[in-house]
Amino acid sequence: MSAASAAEPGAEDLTLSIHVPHFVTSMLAQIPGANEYLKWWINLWRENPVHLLVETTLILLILYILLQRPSKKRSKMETLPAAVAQELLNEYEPEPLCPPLTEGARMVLEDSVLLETKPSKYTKVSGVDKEVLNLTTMDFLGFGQRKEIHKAAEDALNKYGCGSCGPRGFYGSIDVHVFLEKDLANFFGTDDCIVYSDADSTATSAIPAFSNRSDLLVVDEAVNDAIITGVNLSRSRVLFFKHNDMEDLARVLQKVEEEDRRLKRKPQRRFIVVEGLYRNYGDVCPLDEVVGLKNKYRWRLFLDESHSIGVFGASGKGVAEHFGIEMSEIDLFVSSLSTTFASVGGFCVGSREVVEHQRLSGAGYCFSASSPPFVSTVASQAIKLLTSEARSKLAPAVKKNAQTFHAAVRKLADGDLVTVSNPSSALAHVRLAPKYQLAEDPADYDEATRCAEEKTLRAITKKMREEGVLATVANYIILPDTVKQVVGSNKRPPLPPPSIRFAITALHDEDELTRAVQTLVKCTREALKDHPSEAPVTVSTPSITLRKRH
Amino acid sequence: MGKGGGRELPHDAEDQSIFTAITTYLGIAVIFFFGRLRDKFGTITGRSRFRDELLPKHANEAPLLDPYGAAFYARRIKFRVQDCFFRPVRGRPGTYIDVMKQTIDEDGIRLKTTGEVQACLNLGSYNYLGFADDWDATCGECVHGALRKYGPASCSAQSDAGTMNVHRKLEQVVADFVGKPAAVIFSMGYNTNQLVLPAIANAGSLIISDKLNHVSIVNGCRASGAKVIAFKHNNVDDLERTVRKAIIEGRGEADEPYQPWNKIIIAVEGIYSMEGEICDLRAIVDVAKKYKCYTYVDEAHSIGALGKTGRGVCEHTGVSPDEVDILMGTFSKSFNGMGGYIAGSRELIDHLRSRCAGMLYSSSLSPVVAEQVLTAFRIISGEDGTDIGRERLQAIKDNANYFRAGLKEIGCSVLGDDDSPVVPVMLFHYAKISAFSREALARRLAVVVVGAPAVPLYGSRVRFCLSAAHTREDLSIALAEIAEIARDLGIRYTRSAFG
Repeated sequence: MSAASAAEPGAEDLTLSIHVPHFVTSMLAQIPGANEYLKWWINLWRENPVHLLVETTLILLILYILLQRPSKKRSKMETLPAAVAQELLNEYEPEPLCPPLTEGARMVLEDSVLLETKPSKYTKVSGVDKEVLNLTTMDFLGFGQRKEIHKAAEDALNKYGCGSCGPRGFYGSIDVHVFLEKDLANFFGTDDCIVYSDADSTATSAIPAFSNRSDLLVVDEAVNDAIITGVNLSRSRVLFFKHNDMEDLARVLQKVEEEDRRLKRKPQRRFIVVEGLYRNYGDVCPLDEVVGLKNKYRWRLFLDESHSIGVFGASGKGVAEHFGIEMSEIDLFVSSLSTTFASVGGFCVGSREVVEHQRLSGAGYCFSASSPPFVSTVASQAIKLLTSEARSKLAPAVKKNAQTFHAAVRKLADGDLVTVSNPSSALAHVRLAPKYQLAEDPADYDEATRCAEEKTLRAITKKMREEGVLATVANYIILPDTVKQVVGSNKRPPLPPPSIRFAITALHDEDELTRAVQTLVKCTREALKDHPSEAPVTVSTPSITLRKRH
Repeated sequence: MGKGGGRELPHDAEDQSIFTAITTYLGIAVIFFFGRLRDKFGTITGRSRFRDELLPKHANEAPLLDPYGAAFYARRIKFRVQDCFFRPVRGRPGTYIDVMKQTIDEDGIRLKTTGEVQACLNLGSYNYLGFADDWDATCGECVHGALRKYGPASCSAQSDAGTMNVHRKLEQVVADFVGKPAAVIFSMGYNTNQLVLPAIANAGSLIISDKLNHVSIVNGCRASGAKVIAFKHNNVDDLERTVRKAIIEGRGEADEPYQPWNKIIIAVEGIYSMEGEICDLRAIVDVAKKYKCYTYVDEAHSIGALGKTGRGVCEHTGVSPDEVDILMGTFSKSFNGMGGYIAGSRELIDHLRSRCAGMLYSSSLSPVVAEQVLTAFRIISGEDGTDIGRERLQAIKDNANYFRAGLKEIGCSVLGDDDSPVVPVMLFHYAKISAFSREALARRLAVVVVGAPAVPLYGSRVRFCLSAAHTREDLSIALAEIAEIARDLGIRYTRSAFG
């Protein structure tokens, strides 16, 4: 069949309406069915030309968008002439890997303490001839020196050797890890427990496991560094409230609720982040009020009890027990094994959902080797001791000691020193009295005033060491004023004010603590002679705001 | 083992045939489809073992876990393979390991141990130098001594009262061993990366990180606030391109005036733990030097396992330790301990001692563990007056190469380089993870299988970790068993596209 004859009837028909060039019709004729298709188009055109035009344009537009390559902004590298680029490469001169030591950093280095024996009540410090009374080790109940603990460690070493040689997921789950998790869950009366191999990685992993970009965290300004890192890693929106200020917390929660109403937001995960006993202040969180607010506004609660465990609460479960708060009220309860439990690591207790999720998403759990087995048996043994002795002996003893210490500071150091801690807290922060403080508010301290005040404090602790009492200045990472630190989209809250930190244990007795405070007062009076009477004048340098990138 | 998607597979793993690719994705689709179907069924009828999870609790509150993300994954994927991970063991992680048998709990969701154990050949633990096997003879005495002398833990940060003689000694030994002027030690290897990177990089810095770097490095980079650019895994050309581009463009946007990075840090690992590949350090260091970048090498798996005298990837690739700015490593593998170290210039170490959260806030390494690591170092470097260290380093190399060659002969798609004690074999299919693991356990082989999220969804693999304590006979038996498993499961991908 010839092409012309096949095209004949249709072509005649079409020419009536619109002109179709001959070569098109003859070409179409070679494709089977094409003619019918052309007819169909022409019919469409006849019936509703506007419709056809609009639709064709739309189809073409969609095709254009689909086929268009993503418009690539030409980068600087491509636009720069090669010679200029080469010059930039040649001229690039990086800053040194680490900046020169600042004054604050040098003080931390020079003030380091080297222990020559075990960190027991009396210990031997390098450079001091006699033994010193240890008020630094956070082994609040003195478990680290107990025979039972040493026996547990020894037996575990004999049975398991030292390391576990693998993460929990990959044959690093030794039976004693599982036992410890059961012991902790039983102790706290929760469904389950997850043990991390380091205390600080617990909060750092637990927060980002549950809170992500779309979620919201309301955080106390004074939380410790591990929590700040966790908050930062979570990428959540962060709001800070003033330290232990419940009105401010209520204000923040109220503000969020109003925002909700205005923006008609979909539900997001929201946590109030607090510490039971603040590491940096030694004061107690008013947890009953926090829980009240949490329930009122339907938030969740993250609680870090690292420094209150074994000390607060009738059976040593921490500040939550002290306030009589049910464990079910606390969604994420993390604590440390390296304080009262005289071991290494951290843990999170809670519902099965909370724990099982962290086993997959807690980065510090999933991607780190598990702790050596003997560490777990030590912690298990510590729980046994705590269960049998806390209520009757240890908790009252440590509480009494803490109160003795605080009372002695108030009585003996009147006018020179103040404590900022809770009178029952085994972790006591002692500051210079307001008349010697170089700034009023933590936020008012800059690098120079902080260093000047810390210098006096370090002089005090140094003299105390020589006099036979070991206490240390609370160390913080002091960055130059020019560095602006951020958390989420906020400025990072100011560092806590300079202080000397004491760890009071159940092992100390009244005489020792009184003597320690007497030494503290004596050394303070000596050191205050060199204390600057007013804040040093800081040379104001232009501040560089470094943009936070993710 | 970075998390999540967007990752690139090492070159060997790309040898996946079309057939494998299609069936792998199909497998994942089936898992998701039926998972969602069962969720739907459970929600409507309430007949599901997960009904407590499926029914909403608070109307106003967002669920704690994303119902279509984490919760779905745990319910429909992890649940089906949970017996292959987190297997509890009893006793030491030596050449033979007692794996505890598990059965499903009454609630039908979790596993519980039955009380029985099964002795398996351990091809999963990082017991590279075999210290877990003869711990009493090699390390026991010293470690017990340290326990008596220092107690089990320090309960204090290093900058407070957490530094003991044994810590100082260990720092010096580490520095001498790796060939750097000074070193600091941390109580956790993961934290070493996560806390040190923020101390050296800030918002004006750039970290150029290998795409397959460990999560700890990734999180350290994120916590530092520095800009992070990933380069193609172990690809020096791409690294150089990235570095050039970064220097030329600076840190401003295209329309801003030129602002150079205050420093550029290239972060790589010595041996990549999920790929078994050894880093091309020579070339990377050359690029770094050419463009004045700093180098950060994570030797978690290579220190004490690679190189003639166990000094890690520097020794293996012929790079002088002076050429690398920051050497990081962990003690939980070859040294049978725990924790990590950073070695570098004296200025860097002083900086870290006074500025790093790991020094100022975290509790220090347990003195008992520090003594363990110290003893292991003495043995490895031959200071104990024996040949044990040298022999073990030779043994692990021989074992790794023998095993790798054996697997290749079977026809498995083996990743990684010779001499690396980490030997991964590609499985590709998600479903083959559990099949391989269970088959191996039935044949008394304890192996590590890896699936998402540690590797990409389509990058499932089994990973063998060799030890100096494995005998040739152990490995021959294991290879024979694996050959049968490989035949049954169809993972001999180098023989045929169909496995």
